Amino acid sequence: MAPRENWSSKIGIIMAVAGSAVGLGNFLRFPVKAAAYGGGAFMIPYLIAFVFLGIPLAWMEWTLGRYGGRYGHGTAPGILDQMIKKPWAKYAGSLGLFAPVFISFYYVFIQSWLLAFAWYSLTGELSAAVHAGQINQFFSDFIMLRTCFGPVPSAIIFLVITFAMNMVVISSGVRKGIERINKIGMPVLFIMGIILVVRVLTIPGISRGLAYMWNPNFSALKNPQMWLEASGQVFFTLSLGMGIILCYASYLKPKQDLVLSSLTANGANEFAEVILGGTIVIPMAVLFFGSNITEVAKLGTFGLGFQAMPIVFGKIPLGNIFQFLWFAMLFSAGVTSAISILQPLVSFCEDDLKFSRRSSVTAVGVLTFLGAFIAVFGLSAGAVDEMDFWGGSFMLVLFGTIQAFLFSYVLGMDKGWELMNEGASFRLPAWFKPIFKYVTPFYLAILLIAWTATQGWDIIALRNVSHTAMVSFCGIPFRQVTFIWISRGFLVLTAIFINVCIAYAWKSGRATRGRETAVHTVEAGHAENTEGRV
Amino acid sequence: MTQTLTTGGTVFMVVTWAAILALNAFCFYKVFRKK
Repeated sequence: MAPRENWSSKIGIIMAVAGSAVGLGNFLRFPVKAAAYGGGAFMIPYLIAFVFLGIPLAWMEWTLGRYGGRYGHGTAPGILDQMIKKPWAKYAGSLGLFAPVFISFYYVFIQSWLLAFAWYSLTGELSAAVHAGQINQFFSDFIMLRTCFGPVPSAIIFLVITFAMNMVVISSGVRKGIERINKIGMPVLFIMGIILVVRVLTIPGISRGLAYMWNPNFSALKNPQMWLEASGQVFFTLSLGMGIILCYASYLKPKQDLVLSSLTANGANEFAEVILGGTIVIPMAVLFFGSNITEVAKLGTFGLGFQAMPIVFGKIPLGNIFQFLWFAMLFSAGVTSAISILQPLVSFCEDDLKFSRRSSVTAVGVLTFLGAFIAVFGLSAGAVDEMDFWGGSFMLVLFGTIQAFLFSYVLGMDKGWELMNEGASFRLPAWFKPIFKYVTPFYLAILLIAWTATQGWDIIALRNVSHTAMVSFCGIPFRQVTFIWISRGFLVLTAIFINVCIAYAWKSGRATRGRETAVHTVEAGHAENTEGRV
Repeated sequence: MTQTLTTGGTVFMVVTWAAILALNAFCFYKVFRKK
């Protein structure tokens, strides 16, 4: 087997992690939440959560990831097995693979919409739909596969192109694929974002739009829901609890800095979220939709991005160009996020199943294509919502909380602290220790319980679904409740399949092959360092 | 909807932007500086 890869530079991993974190949520979810929960006042709980939840948990994930990489593991099953040393630990680690697997089923489909809308911006079809007052119909026809190139739905063509692009990047490896695409894609994304921000800030009367986004409503601070939403936003925007940072950090060299790298990636994400995301969508939408903005916000993330924004761009000079920049920027963010979702799965196949990279990419491609089939044809029936709830919400908070407790109470605060600061460009001050040990884990536990109680349980118990509603999947009619349970059954089968793979990897000895050499190397290195200090 | 950006809104926007830009300046300076 070829030796495990690593990042060629510090800026490479920083751009890769930032690329993973920056996505649709930065440009669409954040501004909607901020505007809905107190405007400028939203930034108070948001920044508190960023400092006490986001930054510490990211450092913990980076530390656990680099620790796993030293033993040849890039995903949670191997890392938990090495850390806890109990037979059940590797199966508990499967929780860290569920999020990327479930998200991969639908993310590429949504990513392909961005490519399609960037293309339609160039061809002028999107502007034509806007001017004809048909944008809602245009979007709906596209995602429901009613728009065709010849006999083939155009959404399927864009999906195949996007899928192939992702696979090419992933199959090129960590350095030549992921690192290279992020080093190019992220600066391009920031440049496009800054151009859009400058354009927005020079629109006459934009102060009214900024007022909706930033004028503080301090009475909202008394609303517990606002604190929950702000904490949740920080959690989701930083790609925490998804197994992505674990995986990316596992490709760090044993003594490569993680303290500065993690903080820099988080800072870059906040730039994209608050400065770019907070300036483009809501201020422009408020300016052009006026008092209808509340109704527009109800369209949700996709409605705002794909339906409202083309209308807005249709009303400014050179709107076609800025519309293309908007979708190209989101697609660029989508590419770097999509490959980060796929990489943990490839890493599991390579590290624990000892597949070659080509076989790993093929296996991941087959699995995600199967899931994408259900997402594409079950979109209107609620399949994507179900995958997003379990993969993109619940598992993140659950696994993030588990990681925080693992770091502070299983690995141990002293060992964790020492590992985190190894090779650091600057050492963290000791007063941060109680934050890691007490504040972050319990903050997360409260967030998990409160979120499940206020929002999650309604979805789990299907309280928002009418028991008489009917849906269609591939032409077959189902009661919606039945279809959701079928979707959940598919996710459960996937979870069982992952655990069967874990059992095979360990029982066949593939997962632990070469670990003795890695352990010896790590311990020798540790002894050498200790002697050096003495 | 005729409300314009108030002093409070401007302060929140400027302070938040400044904090994020300062964090990025600090981090990227340390990443790119020659040892």
